[in-house]
Amino acid sequence: MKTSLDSMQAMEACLLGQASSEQRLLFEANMLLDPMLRKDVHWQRQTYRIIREYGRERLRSELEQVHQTLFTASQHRKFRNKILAFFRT
Amino acid sequence: MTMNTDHRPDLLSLYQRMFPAVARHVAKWGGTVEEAKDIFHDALIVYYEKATLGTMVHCRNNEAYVFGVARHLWIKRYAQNQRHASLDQLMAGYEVTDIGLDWQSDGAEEEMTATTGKQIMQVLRAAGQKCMELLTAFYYEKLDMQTLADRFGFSGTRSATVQKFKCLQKVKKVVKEKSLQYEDFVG
Repeated sequence: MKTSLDSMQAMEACLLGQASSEQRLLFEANMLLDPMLRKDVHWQRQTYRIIREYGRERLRSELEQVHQTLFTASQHRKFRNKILAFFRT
Repeated sequence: MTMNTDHRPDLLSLYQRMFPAVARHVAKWGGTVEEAKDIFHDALIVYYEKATLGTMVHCRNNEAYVFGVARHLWIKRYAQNQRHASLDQLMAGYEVTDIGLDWQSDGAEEEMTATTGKQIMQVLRAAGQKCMELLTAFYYEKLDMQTLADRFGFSGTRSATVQKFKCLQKVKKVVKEKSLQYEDFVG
């Protein structure tokens, strides 16, 4: 299926809540009439989820690196000791 | 502090400022350093997503916000023993404006299973990394098109837009094919 840039932009605006109410209404009407479009919307939503998961994973690994730095590097010993002291009492 | 720029906030100083309160709280309730770390990372993710959406209006104190989310996650995940629940499940109903509101479906459709999601991620990490970087920069970091064009070396916003949609189509195709394949295999 070849999709134009315009129609992709319109669909995205509707799915991400950036469309006007008229745009949205038109899109919902099209969805009712077009089962192919409904399927496509489903896959697009799943794709957004996957992208968010990918973004979360990257952020998580950056945070993990920061954690490792704080808990291994000698210049952060003071911080580390302060944290570990909470868990000793 | 603004997070909606080309650069991540200084995670190290944010960590130094915000982690002690969370660690002390988790320690007080008998948790481990590892648990405190996991809770804190999740809370920062929630905070980051909220900040990039620009919905931090009613919260002037970032530290208090992160601590509040961490405390909530601690109760949900450990006190109520929902260790394997997803971040979205744990955060549901936490605020009037849920995180990632603009990502939500209307609820009528089936969610993909966690396993399928993981397998798709693996495929994309191996074969679609360039597109995933671009898409994450736009949809997750919420960079504007100009910043995106600069970062990825496009001649302008128009070609960045075109490339973004090409990538979206490409990844959507993978998501669709792999979902059908894995779900068929399982069920």
